[in-house]
Amino acid sequence: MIRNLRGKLQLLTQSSQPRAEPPTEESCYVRDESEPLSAYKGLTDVTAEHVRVMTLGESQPFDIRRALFLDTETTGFSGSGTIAFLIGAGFIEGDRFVTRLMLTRDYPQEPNQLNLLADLMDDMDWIVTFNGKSFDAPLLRGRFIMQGLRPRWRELNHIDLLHASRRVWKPRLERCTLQRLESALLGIEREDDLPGADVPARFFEYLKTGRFSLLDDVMRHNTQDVRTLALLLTALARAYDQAEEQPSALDVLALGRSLHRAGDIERARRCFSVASVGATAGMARVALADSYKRGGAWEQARGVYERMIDCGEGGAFPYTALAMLAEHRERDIDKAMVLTREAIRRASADELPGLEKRRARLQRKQDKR
Amino acid sequence: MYRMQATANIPGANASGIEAWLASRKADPAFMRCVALWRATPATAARTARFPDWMHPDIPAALKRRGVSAPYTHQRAAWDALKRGEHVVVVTPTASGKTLCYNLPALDAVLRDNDSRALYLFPTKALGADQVAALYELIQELGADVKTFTYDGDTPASSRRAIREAGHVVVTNPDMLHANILPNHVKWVKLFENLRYVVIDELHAYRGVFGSNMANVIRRLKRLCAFYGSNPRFICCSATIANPRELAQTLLEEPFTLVDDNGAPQGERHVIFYNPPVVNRQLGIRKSAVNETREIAKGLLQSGVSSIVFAKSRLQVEVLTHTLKQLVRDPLGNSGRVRGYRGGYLPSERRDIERGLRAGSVKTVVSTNALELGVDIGSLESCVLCGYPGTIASTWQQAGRAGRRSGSSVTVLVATSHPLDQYIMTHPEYFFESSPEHALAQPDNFHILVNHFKCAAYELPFKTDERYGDLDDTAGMLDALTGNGFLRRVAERYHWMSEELPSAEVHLRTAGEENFVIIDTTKPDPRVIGEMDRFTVPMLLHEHAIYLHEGRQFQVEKLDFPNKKAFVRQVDADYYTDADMNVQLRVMDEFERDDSPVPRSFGEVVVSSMVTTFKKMKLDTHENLGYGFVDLPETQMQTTACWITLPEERRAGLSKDRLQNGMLGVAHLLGALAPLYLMCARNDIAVHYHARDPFTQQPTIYLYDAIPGGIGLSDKAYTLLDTLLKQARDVIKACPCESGCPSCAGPAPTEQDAKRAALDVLAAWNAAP
Repeated sequence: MIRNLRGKLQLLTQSSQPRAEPPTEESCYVRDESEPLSAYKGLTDVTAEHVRVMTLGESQPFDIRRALFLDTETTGFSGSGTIAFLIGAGFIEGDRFVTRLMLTRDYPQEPNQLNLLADLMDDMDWIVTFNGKSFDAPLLRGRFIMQGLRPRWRELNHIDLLHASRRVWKPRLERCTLQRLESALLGIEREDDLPGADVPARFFEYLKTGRFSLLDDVMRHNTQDVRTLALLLTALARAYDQAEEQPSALDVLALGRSLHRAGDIERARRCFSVASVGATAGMARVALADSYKRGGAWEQARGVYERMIDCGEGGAFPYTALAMLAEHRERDIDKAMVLTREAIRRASADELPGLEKRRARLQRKQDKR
Repeated sequence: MYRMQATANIPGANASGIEAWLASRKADPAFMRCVALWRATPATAARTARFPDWMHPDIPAALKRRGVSAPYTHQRAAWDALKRGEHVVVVTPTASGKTLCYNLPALDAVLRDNDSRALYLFPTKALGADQVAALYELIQELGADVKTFTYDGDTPASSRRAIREAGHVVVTNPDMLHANILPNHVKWVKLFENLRYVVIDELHAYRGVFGSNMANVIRRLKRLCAFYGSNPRFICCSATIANPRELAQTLLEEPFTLVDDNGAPQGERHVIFYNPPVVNRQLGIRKSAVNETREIAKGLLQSGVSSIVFAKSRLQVEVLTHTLKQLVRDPLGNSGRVRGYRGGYLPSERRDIERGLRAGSVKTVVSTNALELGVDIGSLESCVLCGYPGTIASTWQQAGRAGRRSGSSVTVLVATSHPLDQYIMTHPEYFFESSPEHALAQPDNFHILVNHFKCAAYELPFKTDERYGDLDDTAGMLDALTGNGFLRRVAERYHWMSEELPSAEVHLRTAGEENFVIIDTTKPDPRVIGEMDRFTVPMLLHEHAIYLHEGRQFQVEKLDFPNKKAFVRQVDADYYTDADMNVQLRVMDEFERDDSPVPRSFGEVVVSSMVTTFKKMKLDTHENLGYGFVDLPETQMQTTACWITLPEERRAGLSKDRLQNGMLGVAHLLGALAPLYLMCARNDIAVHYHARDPFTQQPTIYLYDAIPGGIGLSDKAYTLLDTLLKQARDVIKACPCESGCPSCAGPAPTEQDAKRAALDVLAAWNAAP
C-alpha cells in the first residue's frame, strides 16, 4: 500500500508520459452486422404469453420486433465513474437480425453514443438483457444523467434473462453464466474469447496506445453476447412450450415451479407429475403435494404423501405431513400420534426436536380426553 | 424517596450534593495544595426570543404542544442566519437545544416544498440513531409526512432504493457518504438536486486524519451539488472549543456565521486542575492519577453527585469501575448505579447504560472517550478526567458532559506524570487561551489529497479550469495524476481511467475493521458479551488474560485467532493482567537524509508488534504477582518514519550508560512533545529507540506515524526536529525535579542523573550549543 503510494509520489514528479493523440471527431464508432432471421429459428414465435411466464409479471403486449437486445462492455463495476464504452444492441429489421455496436473511442464521444442508443430505444417497447436489471440498465441510466441527457433515457419493459434462466436451469446446471448456458443449451463454444474481466484493461490499453485492433476481441465478444441473448430468449420460450417433454427431469421440475409461480397451476402440476420419477421423484412429489395443499385440495395432497410412503421416498417427511393433516384437518389425534411415531423412527437429527415437540403436544391432547 | 435510602446505604455517605462537595474540597488544605487552578464561571439566566414569522406555522404550534413556548436566542440567531442564506456553526454547551437549530429549518423546508432534502452527517452510527429518534418525535407531533431515514451499513438493501428516492432527511456518516453515496451519485439524483441543508454535528470530531479526509469528502460533495444545480447551506454544531468558526471554514471552505451566544440558562461551572502530590521529590514521582481519580469519584458518589469519569484506557475503565462498584454494592450484590462504558460493549448494553444515565438510575459512569461524542446521556453534575486527554478539544468535549441548565457543575482534571499533563498544570493559560483545533485538519495533506482527487475524478470528470476546493494548484495535481496514468486528459476534461473504484481503497479513519467477538462460556448457553478490534486483542484477550467487562472478571480460556473469537469464563480473581508489547522496527527505505546539524533521515519502515509475556498485578496494590507467556502471531504495519542518529565521532566523552540514558530521555521527550507541535492526537505518533540500529549502525531514535501507510506526521517532524530538540532541552532545564522524572527525561534505569545524560546527548548533537 505504502510502496504503491511512494511509487505514485515518484511518478507524480515525472513529466507526462507520451500518449496517443485522441481522435478529434465527436461521433462514436458504429458498426452493423446482420444475419438472416432464419439463423434465429423460433425467435419470432416468442409471444406475450412466453414473456409473462418468464418474467413472472403481468400480461403485457409483446412484439419481438419492438424488443431491443442489449449488452454493454464497461470500464469497471457499476458506479458513477464507469462508462459503457461499448453498447451492443440487437434488433430485427425486415428479415434480418442486426447487431449494432456503438463504441465510444474516447470520452468525448459518449454523448453521441448515448444519443444513438436513445434513437434505437425510441422505437422499442422492451429491452432484453442478461443481468441488465442490476447492471446494464442502472449503469446506462447513470450515463444519461452524467451527460445531461436524462430526458432521452426511457424506462422500457425489461426481460432479464439471467433471472429467467436461473429459474429454469439452475437446478441442473448449478451455475448460470452466459457461457455456461451457451455451451449447455445452445451448442455454442467460443474460441479465443476474451474473458469479461480483461475487457476494462483492453479498453484502457487502447486509449493509451491508440491501437484500435486491441478492441477487435472486445467487439467480437460483445457481438456474440448480443446474439446469444436472442438465442437464449428463444430457448427459454421453447422450454416453456415443451415443459413436460424436457429430457431432464430437473428441468421439468424447475419449469413446473416457475409455471406455478406464474399462476399456471395445472401445467405446473403436470410437470411435477412427470418429474415424479427417478432422482427428482421426492422433490417433485413434495412440490405437487404443496401445490395441492395451497389450493386446499387436501385429498389429493394426502394421495401424494401416501404414494411417497408406498415408494419409500422422503424419509420422515410424508409421515410428518400426514400427521399434520390428521391432527389439524381430520382431528384424529390417535392417527396423528401413530404417524408421528413413524416419522420419529425415520427422522434425521435436524427433524427430531420438532417431531418430539409434536409428539409431546399430541400426548397432552390425548391425556386431556 | 427510594434514592435517598439507596444513598444512605453507602458507607460514610453524606447525600449533600454538589455545593457541599465543593465547599468540603475548598475547606480541605490537602486537596487545595494540589489544586493548580480553580476557575468558576457564574450562572446565567435564560434568554428567549420569538419564533420567526417566516417559519411554517405548524412548527411553533407543535413545539408549544411539547412545552417549548419560546426558542432561546441562539436558536433564533441560527435560524435567521440560515434564512439570510448564510452557513452557520452553532457552538453552545450540552443540553442547550442545539438540535432544534438544524431540525427546524430542515422541517420548515420540507413543509414548504415536499421535494426539498436534507443530509445529516454524524461521526458515528450511534449518534445518528439518537438524532433520528428525536427527529421522529418532532415529526410525529407535527403530524407531517416527512420521511427520515438512517442510511448506513446496517440499512437493508431492500430499503435503500426507497431511501434514495423518497427520504426527505437522510441521516448517515462520512464513511457511508464517501464510499457509497458519492461514488453512486446518479442513484441519488433527487437528493443532490434538492439538497437544501447539510448538517454536520459533532464538528470537533473531525480533526487529524479523520478531519483531513472529511474536508475532502465535503469538497467532493460540493462538486456534485454544483453539478446537479443545488447549493446547500451547511449547519455545523460543535461543543465549546476555542475557535469553531475557523475549524468549520477549514473543513468546509465557506464563510461561516458563528452562533455561540448561548441563550439557554446555565448553572455555575467550576474547572479544577488537580496535580497529585509529589511523593518522591528525587524521582519526581507523584501519586497515581488513577488512585486520585478514584478518591475524587468516590467523594462525588458519596455526596450523591452524578458524574462521568473519563479514563485513558479500557483497562483503567475496568479497574475504576470495579473499585467504585464495591462502594455501592447492595446486600444482593447489585451495583448498577456505577457502570463502565467503552467501545467493545455491545450496542444494546451501551443503550441500556445511556438510558440509565438519562433516567438517573446510573449515578457514576466510567468511560473511555467513547462517550466524548454527543451520545445522549443527559447532563451530569460532574466530570473527572483521569489524565489530560491529549488535546484541548477533547478536554472541553469531555468536560462538556457535565453542565446543567440550573445548579452547579464541576470538571476536575487529574494530571498524570506525563510531560504534557505537567505542562498543562504549570501553564493553565496555554489550555484556556490557545486553540490548536483549526490546524489539526489538513485538507491539503498530500497523501490524502491524492486519494480524494482520484475519488473525485471517478465521480465526475474534472474540467481543465476547475478548482478543487481552495487548492491553488488543481491543474498541477491533475496533470500529475494524468502523467501517472490514473486520469486521461481529453477535450478540456480529465477522466478517470482505471477499472478500480478508488473510494474502496480509501478509509477515512484508521481504526482496525476486523473485530473479534468475546464469548462468555460460564453458563451452558454461550453468549456474546462484547467485541474488540484486532490490534487490541493481543494485549487484552490473550489466553489466561483477565478480561474485565463491566467490572466483572473473566479469564480468557481460548483465543481462536483465525476465527476471531475469544472464549472467556467468569472468575473471581484478586489480580488483573497487563501484557507487554514487544515492538520491533525495521527500515525499508530511506527517502531523504540530512547530516547537519543533527543526522536525520526520513523514510519507510515496518513496525512489528508482538505480545510475548504478561504480568499478573494485584487489584488494589498493583504489585506484581508473577507473569506468563503468550503465543500469538505478530502484527505488522508499514508506515513512514523519521529518525535521528548520534554517530560515533560525536559521542566522544560519553560513557555507554550515559549515552543510553541520554538517548532514552530524549526519545521519551520527543514522543511527548511531538503531538503538540505536529498538532495531532497523542496516539497518532509513536517513538522507538534502538541502542544499535541494524540499518544506521548507530544509536537511533525513531518517530513514526502510528497509522498504516502514514499520514505525513513524520515528514513534518523531520522538518521540525531542531525545534523539537530545542524544546526538549528547555523542558528538562525547567523541570523542578533533581535528576530526571516522568515529566522530563524520564526516570533513569541505571544512572542517577537522567537529566544530565539527556542534556549531554543534546549537546553532543550540537543541537543545543
